[in-house]
Amino acid sequence: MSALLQWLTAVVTTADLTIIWYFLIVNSFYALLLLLAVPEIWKHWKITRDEDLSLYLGSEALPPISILIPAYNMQASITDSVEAQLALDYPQHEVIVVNDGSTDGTMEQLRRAFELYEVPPAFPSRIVTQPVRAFYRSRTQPHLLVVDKQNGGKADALNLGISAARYPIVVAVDADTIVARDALLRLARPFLLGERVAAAGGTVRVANGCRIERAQLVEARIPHRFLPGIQVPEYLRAFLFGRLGWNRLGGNLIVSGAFGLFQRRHLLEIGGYTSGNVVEDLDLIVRLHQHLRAKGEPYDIPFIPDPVAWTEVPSDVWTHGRQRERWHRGLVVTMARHARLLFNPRYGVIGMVTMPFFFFGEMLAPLVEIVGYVLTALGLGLGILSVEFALLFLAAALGYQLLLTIWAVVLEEATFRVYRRFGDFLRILGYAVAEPFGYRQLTVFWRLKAFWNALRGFTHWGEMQRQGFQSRPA
Amino acid sequence: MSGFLAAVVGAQVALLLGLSLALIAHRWVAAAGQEGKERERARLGEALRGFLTARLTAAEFLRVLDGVRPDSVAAVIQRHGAQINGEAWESVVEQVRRSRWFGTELGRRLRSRFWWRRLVGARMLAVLGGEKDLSVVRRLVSDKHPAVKVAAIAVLRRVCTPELLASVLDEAIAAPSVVRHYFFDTLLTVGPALVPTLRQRLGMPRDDHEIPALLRLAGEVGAPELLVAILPHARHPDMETRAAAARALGAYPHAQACDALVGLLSDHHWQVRARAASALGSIRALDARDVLTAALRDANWWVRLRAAVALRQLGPAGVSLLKTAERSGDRFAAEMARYTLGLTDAAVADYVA
Repeated sequence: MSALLQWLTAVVTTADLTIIWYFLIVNSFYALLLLLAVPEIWKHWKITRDEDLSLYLGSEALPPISILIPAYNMQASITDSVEAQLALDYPQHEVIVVNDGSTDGTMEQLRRAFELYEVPPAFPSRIVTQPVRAFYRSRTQPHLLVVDKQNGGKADALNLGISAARYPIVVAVDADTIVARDALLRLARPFLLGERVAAAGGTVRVANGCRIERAQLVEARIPHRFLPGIQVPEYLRAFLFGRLGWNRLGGNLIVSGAFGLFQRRHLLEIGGYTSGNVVEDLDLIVRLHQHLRAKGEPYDIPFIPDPVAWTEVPSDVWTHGRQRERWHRGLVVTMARHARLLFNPRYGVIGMVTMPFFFFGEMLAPLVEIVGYVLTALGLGLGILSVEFALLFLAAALGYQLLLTIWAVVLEEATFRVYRRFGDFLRILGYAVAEPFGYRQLTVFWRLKAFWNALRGFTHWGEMQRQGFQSRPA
Repeated sequence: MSGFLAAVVGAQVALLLGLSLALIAHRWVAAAGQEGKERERARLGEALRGFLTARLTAAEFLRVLDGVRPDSVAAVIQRHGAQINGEAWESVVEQVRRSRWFGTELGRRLRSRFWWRRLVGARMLAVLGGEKDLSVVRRLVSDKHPAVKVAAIAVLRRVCTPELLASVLDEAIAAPSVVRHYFFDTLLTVGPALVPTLRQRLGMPRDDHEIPALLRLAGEVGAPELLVAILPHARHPDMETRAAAARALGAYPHAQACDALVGLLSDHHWQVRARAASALGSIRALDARDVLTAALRDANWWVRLRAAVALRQLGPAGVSLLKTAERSGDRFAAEMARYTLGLTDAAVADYVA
């Protein structure tokens, strides 16, 4: 018996030590990203401060943009959303709405609101998609094209949009995302700075709790409700230093599907989005890196912090769970699908740094974390670990993440300071402190479920319950 | 191990508390600073409006300028400089240039080794620059930081000499396409002053690679004197150059341009044919309606589209030819004619743009 206990003691302490080192290494890498994010955010802040965007607006130099909106059952918000995208400040842009076989009145709503008339197909089909029912142009909005097609999922709808786009740059925007009026100008700025942009992403912030009128954000606020509120510092952390840090390393792997810019020709070359992938944006960027590296074409995939899109995050536990499960399932599937990139020097930073980090630091993190919790509980139960050690273990593992979140808030405060009210600022701090206690463990649970579903070959998105932006109180 | 963990946790707690307190303090200070800054900017804006409406004398305006921080002056001057022009603005410029900070602060920024300081300087010169600043402007236009270059280029709206134009043209040609286009847009604002420089460069390009860019600019300038400099390039052996020539000729509604474009419509590269078709539409080349109708049967989809849109641009004559094509036996021509005939005028204009 004592031999078994000895063996268990050795296992638990060794595993705990391994896990604590795992967390320290992973979080230290995040800290490195944070350090790298500082000069990046500094650069953007200096350029954007007192910048006169009207100079760009008055010039025809910026490449024309096709905004792609995949719409599925968006009857309530589609008109406001399309009007808002058409009204964005940009020298030349068109909006392409792809109605992905909606079963509600989305198509009827579009037909009525924009006086649509049917036109024959006007572009060669470059990517295979579900059949198109009809193409429509608007009598009131010459820059609008509506495509009605059979349901095939978001990736399929976006692929049709890519084929139908007239302009060299496409921007994918979710129908329920609010894009800031000047966001396109800001997103296209790297072109003006001579960067070789293959794709670019902007910041996505939490829209819940904000004051919104006619699909335009009037005042940025922090939600009072716990679940959407706690996602605010989480988004800040992900965008303000995670992605900015990767900019410096040259290995950005995510351009948000809710708001991202792409060179259309590259998307056509790689055959567009992969239908059936639940996180089509991650898969697309990995393939884009592969393709451009194989071609030997110099390119950048920058993240730009100042163009902002606002998205509604889930406000109930089950929708949130489904979303996180889907995100992580997508990560697992993408990592498995592109495993040959791991530690492959042919793919440079992507193969040697980014992919390994996403594999070990992101994908495996919930597995390691749950093992840590179980072993610590086991160690406590069997008297192998002292309560003091267990608490210190948890504090060391979770405290680092808390520190990083607070740093993200520091970056936000030192630069953009979007949330003007002092109460909102205190609320962000509060949510940041609360995040590691309970909420984090909840996301670990959802992410663990993702492994199981990925093994089962589950490809469903899961239903997303959203409140929509209509009549959103402050 | 417990000792190590305790040290890690201790450091984390200390950092956490320190950061949180620093954040809260920063919030208070920044909020107060922001209020002060906004008040100062409002005061300066008010003084500027007062000076422009003669409620304030030059001396009074100068006193206000001398009493505020350079950052505030930069922000207010930039904002107003984009909205006001003519003599009124020049009188403001005169006073600002006489202010205490102009020579010292601006000079310091323009000479700084930090690009963000030079950026502020370049933005200031864009609204305040004059002939005296030519040497600085030329340096800024070829600055190694692209943001400084892009800001400095706006000075061309205020100062323009053949040397500066030549420098900007050189920078533009060497730049990536979007930056080049932005520089070209600014060059266009100088108007006729650009024509001699451009004509000379088109006649004697430094190398073949710069010709398409020069042709693009010539097309946008659209000055009749440039036509003779463009035409020879329509027979250039390089496809890109011929396509650029076709595009440029779309700004010249002249028989010589029309003849050259009709020739380009039978080029063996579809890119050139598509450009030629578009250009024929732009110059409303009624004489070319038969070749445009023939182009509806082109093997390339883009050429067919551009030819069909060009026919729409020809008005009733072109529409009638499209209607005939719609009923013709050629499936490709009929399909494209049907599509373009279904477009509203606004949609056609959108294609042309």
